[in-house]
Amino acid sequence: MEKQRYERPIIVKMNTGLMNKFGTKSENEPVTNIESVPVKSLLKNYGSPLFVISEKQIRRNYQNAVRIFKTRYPKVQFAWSYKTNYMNAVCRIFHQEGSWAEVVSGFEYDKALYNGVSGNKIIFNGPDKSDEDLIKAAKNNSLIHIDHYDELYSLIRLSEEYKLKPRVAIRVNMDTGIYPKWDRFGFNFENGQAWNALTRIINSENLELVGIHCHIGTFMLSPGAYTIAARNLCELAWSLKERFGKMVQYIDLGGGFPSTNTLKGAYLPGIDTVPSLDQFADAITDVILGYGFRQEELPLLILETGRALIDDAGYILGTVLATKRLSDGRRATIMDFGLNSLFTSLWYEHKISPAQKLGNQTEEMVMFGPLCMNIDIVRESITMPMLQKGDQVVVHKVGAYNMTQWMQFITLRPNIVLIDNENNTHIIRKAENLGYIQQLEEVPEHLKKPKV
Amino acid sequence: MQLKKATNTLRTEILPGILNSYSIIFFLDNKILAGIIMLVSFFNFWAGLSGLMAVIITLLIGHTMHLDKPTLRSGVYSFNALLAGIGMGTFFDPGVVYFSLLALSALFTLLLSVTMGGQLFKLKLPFLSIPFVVAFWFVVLPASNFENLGLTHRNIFWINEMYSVGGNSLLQLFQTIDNLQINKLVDIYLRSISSIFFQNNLIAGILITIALLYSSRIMFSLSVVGFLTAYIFAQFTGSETAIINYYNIGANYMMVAFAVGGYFLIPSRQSFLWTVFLIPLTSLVLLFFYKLFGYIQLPVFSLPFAFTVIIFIYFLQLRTKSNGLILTPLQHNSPEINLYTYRNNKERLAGWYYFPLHLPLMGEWTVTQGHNGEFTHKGEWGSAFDFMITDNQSKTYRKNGLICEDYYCYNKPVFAPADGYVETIINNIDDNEPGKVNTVNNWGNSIVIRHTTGLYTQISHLRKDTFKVKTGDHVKQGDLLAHCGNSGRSPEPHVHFQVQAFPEVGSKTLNYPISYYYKRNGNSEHLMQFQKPEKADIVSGVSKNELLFNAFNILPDNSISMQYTDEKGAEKTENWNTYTNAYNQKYIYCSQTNTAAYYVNDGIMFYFIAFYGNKKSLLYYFYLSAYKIFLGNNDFIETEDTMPLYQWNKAKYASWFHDFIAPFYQFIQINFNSKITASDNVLGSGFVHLDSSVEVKRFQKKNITSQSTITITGDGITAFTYQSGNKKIQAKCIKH
Repeated sequence: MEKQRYERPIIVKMNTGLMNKFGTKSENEPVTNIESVPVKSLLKNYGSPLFVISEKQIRRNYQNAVRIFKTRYPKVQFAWSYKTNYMNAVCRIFHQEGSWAEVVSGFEYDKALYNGVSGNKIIFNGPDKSDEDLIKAAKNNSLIHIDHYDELYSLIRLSEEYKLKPRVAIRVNMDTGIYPKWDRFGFNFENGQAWNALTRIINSENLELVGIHCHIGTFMLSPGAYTIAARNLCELAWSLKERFGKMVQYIDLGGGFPSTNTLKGAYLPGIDTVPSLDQFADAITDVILGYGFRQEELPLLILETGRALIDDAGYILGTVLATKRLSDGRRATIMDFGLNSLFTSLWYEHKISPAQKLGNQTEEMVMFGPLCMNIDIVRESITMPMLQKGDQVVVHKVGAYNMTQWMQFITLRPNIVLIDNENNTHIIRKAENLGYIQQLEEVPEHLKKPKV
Repeated sequence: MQLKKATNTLRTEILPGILNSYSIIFFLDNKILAGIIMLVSFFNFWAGLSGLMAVIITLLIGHTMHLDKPTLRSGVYSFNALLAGIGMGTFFDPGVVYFSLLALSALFTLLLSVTMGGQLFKLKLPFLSIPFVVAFWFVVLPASNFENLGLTHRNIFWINEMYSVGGNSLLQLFQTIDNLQINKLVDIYLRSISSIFFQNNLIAGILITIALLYSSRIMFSLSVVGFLTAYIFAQFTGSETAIINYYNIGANYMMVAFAVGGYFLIPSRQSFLWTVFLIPLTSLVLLFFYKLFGYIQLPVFSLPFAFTVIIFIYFLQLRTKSNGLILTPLQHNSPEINLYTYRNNKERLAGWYYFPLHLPLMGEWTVTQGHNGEFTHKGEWGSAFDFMITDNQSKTYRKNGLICEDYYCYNKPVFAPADGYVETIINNIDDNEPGKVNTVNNWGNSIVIRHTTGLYTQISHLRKDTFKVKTGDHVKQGDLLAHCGNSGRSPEPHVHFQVQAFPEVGSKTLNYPISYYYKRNGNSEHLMQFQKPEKADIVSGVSKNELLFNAFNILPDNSISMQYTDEKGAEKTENWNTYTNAYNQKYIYCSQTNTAAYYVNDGIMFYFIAFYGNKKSLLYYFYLSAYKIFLGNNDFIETEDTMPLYQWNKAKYASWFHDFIAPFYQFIQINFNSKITASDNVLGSGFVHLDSSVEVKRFQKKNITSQSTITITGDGITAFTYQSGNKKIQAKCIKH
């Protein structure tokens, strides 16, 4: 018989407030396996903390999204938003499923090329494109989404200088009734800037206008905003057709669909409040199908969904370093991962599950990261069982943005493991070591002999 | 100018008309056969001349009177004159009276042909040699009243004539051959064939037999079958002397064999069998006519043949189903071409006769009940489909499925399956809770679309107040109609789709296929063409690949210039023009090589349906390269097809032998295959490389005989190469 686990005694304050229908039970079901691979063995083999990505879940998400849109609209294309997670293995899963690439810098552009995406299937977004980037993208026949007039002028100049015929679209910003209004990217719809830019492109000799793009925000919780966005883009497309007899080939509605994470400050958990992808798809396709375009001129619908396709395919596994009691009596648990690896803990109340069976008693606690910095907090308040040093936890829905925005700060970044369709594990990014970090460092000659 | 026009008419209208009048007697269309028959007819010089003159007179009258040019050119109106002319030349002495009588009888055959044609063609029946027989009667009976017209004895003294033409050596050659000691049966056979043209000699028989064998193996086999059947039957009944003479064997029994075995029917085991049945019947008819007309001293000639064949064809037309015994749908004047074309088209053009209906859905749906399904698709309402959406676990809903919204297909848009007018809409029934059904309003919210008179489609169980169209609207294929719901007799949300002949909601269904759709099989999609989805099939609609579609959307009244290097390395140019004929069939025509290739582009598939002309022309190589091309939006679909043997440029001796047994068994098959090998086709620009190959399958052995690649860009078909062995042709388009 296994030795019974010792749990320290706790004193819980009796709460005599009003009864509520949710009761007091908190969800603390242990998660011992990820896609049937034991958490324990993952941590043992690959160290703690550890990022884990499920290939099966990515494919499921992608196929589900494709089904949702393709049963509503004839021509749909997804473009994988590189900034959401540009691990090569992850990108390649999406490309295998048929996704194009959506990049926002020269670095991401090169990465997409490296991942085997042909130039004409790369969408180049963002405000930061150097002349070299633009030339390369134009030569590769990529879809350049122009963000501002300076970029438009550069592109016109470069296309003349280098005899290029770039395929372009513009990014449009607009008021879709949400706050904050994202008007810093692209050309504004309401004040006519967008129409002006489109006219200039049509009248330019070398630029080929192929589409219109917008990206109204991120973690959008209102399908209605997409109705407005789709209608505005259709209006631009219709005007182009009426005025210039030219039908754009695609409408790109960007991304911004939420995952089921719970935003900080939200009253109810995300899983109950976030609209389903079906609702977003209805909002978008109803507008385009009903706008009055003829069958054969219906534009391709491009979606740059990132987060909604990857978030729930990523996990971070970690271990308790220590527990302590704070001066105000609150319990504190210190984990071996923090803000440096789990950047999104600034945005979400991440769902965290114990990775082993613990007792039924729970207590509210602060969960800190390992950094020697005051801001390093994973959850400001979370109800967990009696965690002890060495206990393991699983953080859910961390697939988006963490593996691109993480910091090498104070500690080194951990392994990333992919669990494939057959439940085999593969390291897709090795844990960093001192050599890797110092690889690019150079010490001036006069500092090479330390005087110690 | 006038002269030029006259010579042109002579060359393009009269001359083919003359030649065809000769070969059409064997139901064929072959200039060499025509030439040899003409030559043979001149063995009896006056008979030959009379025949030719009668044909020319008929054709000239026909042209002057503006009869239908193609019919004149085909020889249909003039072959009876030919027979009458040869007949008269055989029996009467030439002279002024004779030639006036010849001209009159030529005119008479034309009048009879046009009159009978006018009546019989409407019934899809031929008049065969009846005008000849009747015209001859009109000459024979009054003949005794013309004092200046003498019956000839030349036939008895033909040796004299031969001597006067060719001298002793020719005569000796003739006699040597004619006296050859050959098998009695062969002798009778050859003389019978020659007697079709009122001759009785071996040389004529041999020449015609060779020409017949050269122009059609099947016709030759049939002549043997006809001959043997007649001979054996005569032996069997003991009526040899009465019904077996050379003329009757040739002009009646063999003719029955040609007409029934190979011309009006697609040659097959059954058509051969019916030949064997009909020849004894013909002999009965012959004996009857022989006795009957004997009283009034009229010769019977080929009347029994015409009589038997015409009633048999009429009989066949009134069948309700044609199992194996097929009336030739499109006459090519060659049993081989008829056979190969029919066999080929039967499969590849199966969908041609259907109005193309698409799935009324978008994306992948699962058939939950097919035709004659176990739940509700029964009896006269059996030909219907139910569709739902399933996930990887084959579940139709997420969560617990207690509300409609849990079902994947609920509220999904439904689209028009083809162009048409909205006939009826029902839009007042609320959705059921899952698990409950509404048996009062069985069909739920429904829409009926009229595609053409007698062809309606109905879509049912839609969601209330989601209709985007109203009664009387014209809809185009793919237009949004409404959203999927759960109204009517529908325990869970699904789309019910059926084709019907009447506009009322819930009319009985038609067993009708879906034009093109994909069927999922694991990770790949199969293209289904004009089939009916079955239960548990995961299906999705096919939309077109714009780049490919535009490239192969070859519109009429355009010209295309192709530059190519032939096998000798010489640079050449071929100009193609595109036209449509009266039936709105599109074709590419090359005037340099007098070659035409007919094609169809139905939006999803491009395919050639016919080729006429020069098999060394570039157009022919293009025909071989792009015989069938899939224009849909899936780069992984391989297109396979078969090609009629006679269209294959490498058909030589083996296929010659193949023709003999083709009606019974085909051991050579020509397969075509095309697929996309490289595609960089994004947003209508970029390129597609297509590879195609022609493969010959002899018994089980397969050999690739030619390979082609076609390059398609935003400008259309820009280049293609054709390679067969060492021969390589590279062509590029220099002007669209």
